[in-house]
Amino acid sequence: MTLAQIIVVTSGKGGVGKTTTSAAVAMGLALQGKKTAVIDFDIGLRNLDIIMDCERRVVYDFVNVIQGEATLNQALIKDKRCENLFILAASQTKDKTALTEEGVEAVLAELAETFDYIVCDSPAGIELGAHMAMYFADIALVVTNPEVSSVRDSDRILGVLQSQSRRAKLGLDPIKEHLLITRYDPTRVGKGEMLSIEDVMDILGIPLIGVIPESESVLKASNSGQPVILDQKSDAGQAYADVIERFQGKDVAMRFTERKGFFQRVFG
Amino acid sequence: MDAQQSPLQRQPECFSIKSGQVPFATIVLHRLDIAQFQQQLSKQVELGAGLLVDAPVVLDFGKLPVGEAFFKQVVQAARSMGLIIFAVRMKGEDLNASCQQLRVANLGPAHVKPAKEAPSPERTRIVRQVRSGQQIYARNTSLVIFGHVSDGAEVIADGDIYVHGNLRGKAMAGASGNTNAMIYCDQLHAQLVSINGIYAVNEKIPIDRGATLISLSENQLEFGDPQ
Ligand SMILES: Nc1ncnc2c1ncn2[C@@H]1O[C@H](COP(=O)(O)OP(=O)(O)O)[C@@H](O)[C@H]1O
Ligand SMILES: [Mg+2]
Repeated sequence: MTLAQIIVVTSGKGGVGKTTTSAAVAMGLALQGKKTAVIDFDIGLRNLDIIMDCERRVVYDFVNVIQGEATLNQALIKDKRCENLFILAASQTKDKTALTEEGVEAVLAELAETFDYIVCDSPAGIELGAHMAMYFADIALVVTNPEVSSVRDSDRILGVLQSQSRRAKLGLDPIKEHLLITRYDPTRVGKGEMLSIEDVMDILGIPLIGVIPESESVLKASNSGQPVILDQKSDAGQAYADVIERFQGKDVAMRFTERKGFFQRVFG
Repeated sequence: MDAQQSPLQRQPECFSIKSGQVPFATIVLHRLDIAQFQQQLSKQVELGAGLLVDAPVVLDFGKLPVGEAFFKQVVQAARSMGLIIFAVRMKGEDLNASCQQLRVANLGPAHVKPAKEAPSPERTRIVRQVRSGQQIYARNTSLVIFGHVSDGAEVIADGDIYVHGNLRGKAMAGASGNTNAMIYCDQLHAQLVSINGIYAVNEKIPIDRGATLISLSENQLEFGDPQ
């Protein structure tokens, strides 16, 4: 029996790259041979399924399973590109209160029996959906943009993880926290328009697992229904691949954190 | 009663009552001058960047011989500037009717601690970063934090506060009245520091000076180097 590790991808703030990261990390782990499920907790705002290009294949969703209207096997959508990856879509119609602690726990427990990883894509904020996404987590990927408001919200989420998660409530080992800085633009950092990696790390005080550069490839990938990690020619795709390596304990140097040189800017 | 229970009996209670301690600011009046009061308060409100506005505040008249007219003027002036005056402190009960009219509680005169009554040697110890949105109150003791205090976090103690890390949020020492309380931090980038209710915010706080010891001297905050 495998007992899955539950990873929450969270941030507090919206639009920072949680869904992009959930898709990339889930695909990355699955490509490494780990049986992985990715769950969209953003009830009412389905978008993980669009990035994963399985929008039209959603018949049953997460809430249907919680409410007993479908089995987990009926609702899990198998990814077309990687046989180890499964998606559980959010409901577009039901309201958030459909997420109950017992319901979520039952679904996670059933998944945990056969999967290696469960990736929970959290909605923004600290309301019910975000609470449910983080509550059962073993590992947190805290997604932060290098700007003051995003860092502040991440700090707040870390406080929530440390005091309101299941692990905190039961006095178990704390959730393992990883900082992922996304939409990092070295040029704007150089001009002082954005916080540096050091600034963000100093404020949040948790270990850094990766820096994803601001990149057009992200939008291109999501428009074509591809997790950006599949685009290994792109800087963002490579940066996410590095995150997967580090996640598995490998020591990989940070890339794409320096300002581009003149030639790269012209020809790159 | 038979099987038909009244719905009231079956329903769990709708609410429960807790008595807790909420930190609030106290305005201590030294003089009976309404014009000066208004002038100083409007300056303070501006400086305080929202610290007093929409916040619970107590007006402390101490031993001043307040009359009904002055009392009402002060409460109304403070309220018109956005403060939520929910209680007053004064001696005697002459103005209890006015208190009722203005919907403020009279808490009686403030309990003044004799100076030699040092804060108890016990301390509350926190070994982690205190993060945005979190508040820690060390009642009757000093507070020692091994970790940063984030922007947006609040640490409050009736005694001293030691931050072995960077103080970026708010720190209030001597919160229930103690002019001898001190604040120490390894690095100072605070949003607010206060001792015995005397506070400084943002620009008024010197930054980038490394380890700092903050104390009260003649009702002014002093930012010094630890000895
Ligand atoms: N590294 C990046 N570079 C450029 N755009 C990005 C990057 N990461 C995310 N985005 C864009 O930001 C927007 C929000 O991303 P998303 O992953 O949906 O955030 P969240 O789930 O946190 O709300 C999307 O339009 C996405 O394409
Ligand atoms: Mg999202």
